[in-house]
Amino acid sequence: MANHILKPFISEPKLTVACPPYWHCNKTVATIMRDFLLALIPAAVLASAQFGFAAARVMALAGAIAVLTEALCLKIIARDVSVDDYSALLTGLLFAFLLSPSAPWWLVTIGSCLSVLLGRIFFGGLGGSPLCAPLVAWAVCKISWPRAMDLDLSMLNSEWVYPLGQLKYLGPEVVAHFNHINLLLGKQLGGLGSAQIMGIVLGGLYLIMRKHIRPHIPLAFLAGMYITALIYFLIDPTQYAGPIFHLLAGSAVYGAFFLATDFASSPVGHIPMILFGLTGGILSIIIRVYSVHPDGVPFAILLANLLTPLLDRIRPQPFGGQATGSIQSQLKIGNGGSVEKN
Amino acid sequence: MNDYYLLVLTAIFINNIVLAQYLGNCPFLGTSKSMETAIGMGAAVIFVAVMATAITWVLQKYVLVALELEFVQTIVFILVIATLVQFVELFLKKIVPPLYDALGIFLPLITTNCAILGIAVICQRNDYEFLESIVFAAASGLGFWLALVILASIRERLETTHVPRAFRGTPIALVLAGLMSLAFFAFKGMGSYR
Amino acid sequence: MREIAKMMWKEFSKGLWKDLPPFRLVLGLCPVLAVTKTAGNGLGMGCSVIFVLTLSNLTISMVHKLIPSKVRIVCFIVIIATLVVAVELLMQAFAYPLYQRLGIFVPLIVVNCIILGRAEAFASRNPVHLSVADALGMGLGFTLSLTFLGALREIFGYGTLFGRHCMGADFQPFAFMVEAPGAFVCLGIILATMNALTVWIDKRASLKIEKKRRRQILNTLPLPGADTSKRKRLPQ
Repeated sequence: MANHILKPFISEPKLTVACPPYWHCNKTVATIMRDFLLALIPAAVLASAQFGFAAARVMALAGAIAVLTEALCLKIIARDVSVDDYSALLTGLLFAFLLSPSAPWWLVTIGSCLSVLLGRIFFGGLGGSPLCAPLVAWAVCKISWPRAMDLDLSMLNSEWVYPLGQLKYLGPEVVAHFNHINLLLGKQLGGLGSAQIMGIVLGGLYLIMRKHIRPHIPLAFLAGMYITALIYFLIDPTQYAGPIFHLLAGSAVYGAFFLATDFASSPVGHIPMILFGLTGGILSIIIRVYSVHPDGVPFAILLANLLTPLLDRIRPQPFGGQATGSIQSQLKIGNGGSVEKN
Repeated sequence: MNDYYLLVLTAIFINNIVLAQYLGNCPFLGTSKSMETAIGMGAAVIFVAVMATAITWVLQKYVLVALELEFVQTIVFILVIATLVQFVELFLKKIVPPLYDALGIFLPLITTNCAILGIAVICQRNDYEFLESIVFAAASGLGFWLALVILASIRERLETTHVPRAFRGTPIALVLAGLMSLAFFAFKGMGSYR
Repeated sequence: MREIAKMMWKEFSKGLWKDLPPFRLVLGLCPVLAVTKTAGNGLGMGCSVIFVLTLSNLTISMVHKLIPSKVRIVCFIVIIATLVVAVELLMQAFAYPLYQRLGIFVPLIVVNCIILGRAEAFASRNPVHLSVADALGMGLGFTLSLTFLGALREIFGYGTLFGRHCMGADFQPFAFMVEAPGAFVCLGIILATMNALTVWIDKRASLKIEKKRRRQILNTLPLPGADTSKRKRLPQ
């Protein structure tokens, strides 16, 4: 039984192709994005239940602005206006899940706009961006308006607190106040979607079941975080928080299932995916411990995204030849010139 | 030893020479089109930066300060760098031809590289000791090499995407550099050296 | 005399749009990103570059015949470096706050690719008056570009322009613009806009030429329904 699970990790994949005629599997971009949106529904419902109308407002505004921006920009650069594949809507919603429920309208608008512009349009639409689009917008908003993005400051009249903010500013003694079950059920402040750990886990498992994302990256990411946090905790329990706390606080689980697995910015092969996840996890904890940012997961995923092309060079050797490293040289072998299109 | 560790980390990640201090942009954008040129340029920068910093530090301390000629620092430094690059080229050609073949075309480009002169001047303005300057120069060069390699790998990948026509070439490279700089913001506050 | 003035104007004006540094002639990017946090810094750096560029072009076009070709780059660098030292000392004497704000980028003017580039490409091959016109044009273009970028970043990043508040009281400064990432992204967007503008202007110009040509052809054809009976007959 173990053999059956470990097979993709330890043996070469068997490539068998059946004879034609072929049957279309009905997998288009739109159907994949619809499944992603379905996976986000549990977290969205829980967020609206917990934070009320404000959360729903932020999500709706972000999604609408993202779709509008994409339609407008595609029109300007004279390409197919393909907003009906729901990918812009997904980008907007993924960005909204990282914001605090009381985010002002201008923050949501500008952030959503930037996530589509900087993360998709400038790089040529869907699949071009080397970095995860919602995270780019989040990072821009975080350094521009730190007070509006500070999850504690913007929700002063809420009964809950932001665990990582407490850890960073008040020290690890406050960690004892947090019950793990409460954190799991989402009784914490955080990004409106990323605090609903239970909902995110359900959504992530749904996506893995439908085979839209592979389990390598989420598992490797969470494993990397757990091991690094464990090492720090074992070195000095009075100074660092425990590993389970780190996994349940902030956007760790959300990042692992939804953001790190972004198609264009994560690697493709098995080994690169595992390395990518591990790097992201280890960097998250390091940033959480040493840097001024309370939550290191978004930045860690951005840094790991930068390493994706280098990690993707770890490929199986082709039969009878040397693996040519760069895509450029492979393109030259494939077709004579460069691909020129508007 | 702890101090040097912090100095190296600051120079590579927190105050990256090209992503946070804006030095060395021209070659950064120019040689990041393919991995081979990127690796070569980065290696050349590390090589020249260390030697240039060492020589300029010695000159500053024992010649310029002794003769109270600090105001000609700029002329002396840039002359030192220009002649150093010429000598290094000749020396490598004669003694270590494989290294010359690897670094060859990049060495003359480095004369007008703001990064080299910038590193030398920063060491003076921050009053580093000799060993500190050498370590700082090597670490800054390493930071430049790292940023260059990452940008080159992403730009190679971008060859296969349909970047809008107005953005092809330098504009998208600048946007990418900006996003890399954004990602490196993660390291802010991790401790600063002086 | 008019010919000389015309040629000088041609060299001067190309630095203002056609070869605008650094947006169209992509040279000298290092100081552009660092000093344009505020419009005032950009203006100050631009003025220093005008000073150095003009005098260096003047000097080099006067003495380039005396310099042996093998060592000309080093000689150019010595001349430029001397001028930069002069600018440094002048700034320390008369504009010390600006000198402090520009930091290490004042001595780095000596490796600004624009100055060495114009010296090599233009001043060493052209007479004095044309070199000066070229330098003034390029310098002015550079200053305008720096001030524009600085103003853009200052207005959105701090809400001020040349130190005076110009956005409303409720304005939340978009601090991204004044940090390193915003500088890179801003410059990338401006370069892309210049590219798109160039393509659009060229397209408009070629459309105009096409329209003119078509009108000329139509004018030579006879009007429909013209009386062809009055056509000249060949003598029989």
